[in-house]
Amino acid sequence: MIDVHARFSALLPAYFADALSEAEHAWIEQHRAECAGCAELFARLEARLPELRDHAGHAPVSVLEDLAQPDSPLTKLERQLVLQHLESCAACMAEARALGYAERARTRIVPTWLWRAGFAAAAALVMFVAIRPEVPTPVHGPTPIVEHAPAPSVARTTVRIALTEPTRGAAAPVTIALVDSSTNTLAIELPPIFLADSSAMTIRVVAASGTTFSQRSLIPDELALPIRLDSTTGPWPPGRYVLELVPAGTGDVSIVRRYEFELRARRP
Amino acid sequence: MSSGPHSTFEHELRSLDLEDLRRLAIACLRVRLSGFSSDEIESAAQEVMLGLTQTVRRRGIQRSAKAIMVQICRNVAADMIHARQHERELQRGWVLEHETQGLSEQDEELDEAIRRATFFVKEYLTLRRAECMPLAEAKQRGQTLKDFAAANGFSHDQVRQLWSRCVRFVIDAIERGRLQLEWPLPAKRRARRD
Repeated sequence: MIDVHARFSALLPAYFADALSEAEHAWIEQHRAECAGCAELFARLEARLPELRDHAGHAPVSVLEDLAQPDSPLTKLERQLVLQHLESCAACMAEARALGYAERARTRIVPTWLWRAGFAAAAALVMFVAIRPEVPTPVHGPTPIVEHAPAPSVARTTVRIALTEPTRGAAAPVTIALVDSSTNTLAIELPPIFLADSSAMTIRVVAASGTTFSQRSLIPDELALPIRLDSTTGPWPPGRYVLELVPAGTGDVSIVRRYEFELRARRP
Repeated sequence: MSSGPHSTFEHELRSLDLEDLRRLAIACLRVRLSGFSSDEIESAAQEVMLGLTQTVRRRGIQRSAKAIMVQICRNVAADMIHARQHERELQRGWVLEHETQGLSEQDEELDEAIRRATFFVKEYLTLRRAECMPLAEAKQRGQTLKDFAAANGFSHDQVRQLWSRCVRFVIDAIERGRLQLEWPLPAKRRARRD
């Protein structure tokens, strides 16, 4: 038997966040009209709403506490949302650390001997790219060039690359971006990809030599944002690369999506 | 030292590493009170620690001392910023007590649950780059849909429909168990039954 009063209080947070369906919203209003106790509870919460907004824009303390716990009650998505917020809120990040949160180190996939060999291969590729003829423009139009001017005082820079989906009957587009010796991170914007929420996958960037320069797992919600990838060898060397999205086999997707891009050395 | 029910939490107070908590309080206050002098931050830290010890003495430690400390830091910082902004005298008091005076544990938990729900809704719509992100931000600041419509030259109906479209994303996520907006959280419900 459902306790209607427990259901009423359970739905109140979503009610005040305006995140109830029409049916549930109507049910709350109806129960308020029928139950004096619940109506009083509602009125008390409503009266305190201005106080609750004092810290609007920041993560609630209990959320930061939950983030720090090893057996966190946060779902994977909730955890991602909190981390998204911490990226842009120094105050909440300081408080999260005070509450025991420690950022996880990114796992390096490529062993040392392999990345050294890969770097040598990439250097050879740079020589090849420098002397080979210009790449023809794809049929569908000019290839977008993303430029990023490194700030003189900053040692590490990020280059944004917006990848485009191949269209049927046309040559696969190759996005070109300019890099220099300070380009440690690529911020990859993927074209819209529709996946089931349960589809985990791996994103991998492979050079023409076959060396993997970056690899990590991601969830579908991350596809909406630029995906930041650091090269395991230091700055991203110029060269031709393929970005692969490899499904983990947990969802309903089996296809490996591939996007080509090219990094060219910025002329001094 | 007074006797009576308040003294039952004295042992909890004695178990705290107050120096560590004070150091963390200063770190939290520094981030929120940029532009304030070191002396002002030191005074604020004293106020936080005094508020923390009074709160623990009266009510014990429900979640963690650090969580209580962080909440008091936020309140003290907000008070100091408001005082500077409006040039009024700072109301000295034990801000956590002031806020929670007369509140039942259920009301406090519901307050926090509302903060969580509002936070996750806004962050989820941000993640999805939903068209109603400005609406979510306005609501977080306390603006109604009607206010937003009037301020931005839209009809109330347009804004309501836009919000309804966006809320579908959130409701879908709740139904799939990816967002937990209800109170109490399922894990805490199970803990209460045990």
